Amino acid sequence: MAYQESGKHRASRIQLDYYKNSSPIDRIKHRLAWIFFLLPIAWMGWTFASGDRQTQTFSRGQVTGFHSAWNNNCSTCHSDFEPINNKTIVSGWFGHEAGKKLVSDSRCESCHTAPVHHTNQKLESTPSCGGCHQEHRGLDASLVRLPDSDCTSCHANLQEHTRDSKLIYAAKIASFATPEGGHPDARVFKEKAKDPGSIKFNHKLHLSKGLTIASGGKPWTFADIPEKDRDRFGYQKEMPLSSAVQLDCKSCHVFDPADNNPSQSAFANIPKGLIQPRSRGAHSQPIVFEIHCKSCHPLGFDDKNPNWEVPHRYQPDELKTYLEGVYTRQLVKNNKEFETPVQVRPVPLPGKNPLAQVNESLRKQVEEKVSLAMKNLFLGKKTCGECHYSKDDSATGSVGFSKIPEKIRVGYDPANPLTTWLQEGKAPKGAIWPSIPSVWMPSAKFDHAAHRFTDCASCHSQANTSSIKDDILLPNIENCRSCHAPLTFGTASGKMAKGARHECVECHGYHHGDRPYSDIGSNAWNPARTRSLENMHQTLP
Amino acid sequence: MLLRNTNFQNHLPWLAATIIVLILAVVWFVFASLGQSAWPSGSSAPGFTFGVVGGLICLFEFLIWPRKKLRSWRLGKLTLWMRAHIWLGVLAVPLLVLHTGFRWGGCLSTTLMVLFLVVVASGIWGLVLQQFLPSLLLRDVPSETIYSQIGVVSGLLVQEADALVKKACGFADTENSIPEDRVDDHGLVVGALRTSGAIQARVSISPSLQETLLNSKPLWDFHNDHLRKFLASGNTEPSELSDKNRSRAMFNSLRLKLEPKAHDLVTVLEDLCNQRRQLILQSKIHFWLHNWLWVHLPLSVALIVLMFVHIFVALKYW
Repeated sequence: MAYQESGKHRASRIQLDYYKNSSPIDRIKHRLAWIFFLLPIAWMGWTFASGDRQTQTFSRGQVTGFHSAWNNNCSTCHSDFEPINNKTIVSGWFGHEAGKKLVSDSRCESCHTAPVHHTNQKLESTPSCGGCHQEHRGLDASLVRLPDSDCTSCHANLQEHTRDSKLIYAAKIASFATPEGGHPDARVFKEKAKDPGSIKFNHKLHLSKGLTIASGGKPWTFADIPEKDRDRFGYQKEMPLSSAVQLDCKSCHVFDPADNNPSQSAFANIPKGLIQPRSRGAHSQPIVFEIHCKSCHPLGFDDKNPNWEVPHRYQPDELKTYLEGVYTRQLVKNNKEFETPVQVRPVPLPGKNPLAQVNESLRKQVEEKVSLAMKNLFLGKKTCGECHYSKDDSATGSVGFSKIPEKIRVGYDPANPLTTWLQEGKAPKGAIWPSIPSVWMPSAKFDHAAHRFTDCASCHSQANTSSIKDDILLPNIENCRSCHAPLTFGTASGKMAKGARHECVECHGYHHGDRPYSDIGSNAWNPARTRSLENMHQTLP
Repeated sequence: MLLRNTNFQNHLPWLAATIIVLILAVVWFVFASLGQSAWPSGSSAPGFTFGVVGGLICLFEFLIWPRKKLRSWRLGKLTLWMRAHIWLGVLAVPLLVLHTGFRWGGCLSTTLMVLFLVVVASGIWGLVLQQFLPSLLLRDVPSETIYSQIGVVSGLLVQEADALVKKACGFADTENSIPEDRVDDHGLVVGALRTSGAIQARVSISPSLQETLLNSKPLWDFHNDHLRKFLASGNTEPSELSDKNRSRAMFNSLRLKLEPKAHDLVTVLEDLCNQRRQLILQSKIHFWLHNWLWVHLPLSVALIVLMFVHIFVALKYW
């Protein structure tokens, strides 16, 4: 039988004070513990002792490229122990009162004075700058592509967050993507509103081949267009001049002024403000008579002199004065009595005018010619009355005037309820409005250039059938939702559908909500104090 | 074994509580993220809550170290502490990951998260080792001794073998001579006198051969060539005795070379050799059973220090 020691025997080999001696494993463990206790303390001490390293160590991430110059200076934006985001649950712990402005907000505004959203919003509902524009998410992060929750925190129950009892915006909006989200259709569709513009225009006629919709009507051909303007309406070399003109949307609606391509002479009387250099293409360039209309609608007034035209943008009384000048000049030029040089005329007796009879005759002739020209301009179915309304007329689709108007209407129809929506409270003070609206959704933004891959009819299909100017040719919200909604698998088509962005910020801006026609270029966005390049990194205030 | 069938009932409430809290946390987090372009950050309501709870858990986890050091304070059963340590540690992982909003953040927060994950991973590794190494120790090392005493015990084994062999071979070793009063009819008294202050304990007694062998050269050669070296150096030098089967063969061979009355002595020496092999195995097992603490504990200390810095900085630059 093999010998084996007992446990008691083995235990007798153990030193009585064995517990006083730690094992090598324990000794290493404790030494490492001390090292790793001192190491972070040394690291933090070194970091706190050297200013700039604090940022590199404590920053939760790189700031965006726009702010990277201040990446190493926390106090440019941060105020010690004050949350930069007043929506966090700890804001109250630091003594921050709801609605009170943060120091960090002032620091943001030392560079960016962003106007308030709406003056009637409750202050306690207003987020701080950092509440929405969250930094430290990398060089390429966007500070303005915000989640819907930033908007719906108020708009899901707007009444609670506004000081006014009457709301002009939808009371409850949870999202855009579905009708259940509560987002209303564009305001211009409300109560079947009519186009408030004051230019008569028949889209159907102008989009028809040969610009005629009457059966057997004479088509409008390139021969009817002055040679210098034919190219911009689609004429190509070797085409017969008898070819019918076919206009399309781009013939008039261009998104960059260079694409207007008017003849040089057309520029002569165009107000310079109508030409916007470097347009981003969000909105159509203004329709300008001299560029888009004049080639087919010359403002001729004298049948004997078909090349004579009156300038555009003159009111009737101004036109009359203009015509008087034109005809007086013509008659004087053609009258032999005025051909004798002044030097050789006999000196008239005092009180006698040898040309009095001639003048009287001339005046009558001028009046007759001006009267005839005014009738041609205003009482025919072409020229002024073809497109314009009298200022006192109610807007109708009829062509021509029943009498020579005292004033031609410019700007929006004041009787149209939509005019109030488009202008009131949103217009720059003293603005002169165009006669054709270019922005139909002042509280939203739409970028035509971003949608250039679609054909115009995808959204403006009514243009081909609309024959009166009252029609608003905008698509409704469901048309937008056909793309701007969560990605779905179409069971009918068997293909993926939708999926385009549908966040609030895709169409809406926050700041300057009361003046949406202005943008970040306006003075309202300028900081109260500006910096010199030398003190760019200085913290203000 | 920390987790086994027999004690799983004790872990069940912790497991259930962990799962329930985790589900509630995830639901809250997902609910808070609806309509947001990014996951809720550490400053959001759920993120902040998870951060606070996760931080408190980390602090509690760390307290098990002083709890082990202060056993006499009777701060609850250690098994209960260990269960809480395991399950709260597991729960802290998702809570703190949710606290980050799935972002690494900057240098400090990344360091913190890396430290935390390494600490957790090392803890899980330690837990896995604790599942089977103790049973291995129980099965293969019946001669287990206190780990820190392995060196002392090994030294005693050498002394014992020296004394037994010399006595059998008839050498009068002046240095290691056996005092008369430490030899009795049954055995040989070997080993150091164990004292601690005024306390004196017994020393071990091994059975020994009372007569000198006629042909003791094989024993003497075996002892000097193999046995002594193995008992003294263990596995630091290669030895044929480190292999159990080879060792048995060598001792059997030694028995054949010696007269029968020496066989009991050889058995005692073989047992000493066997004990030494077990001590070697115990050292290896003990090393693997505890070396993860070289990572787990020091990094936990660093984690706690940096966690307080993180709290300060987060509040300062909120």
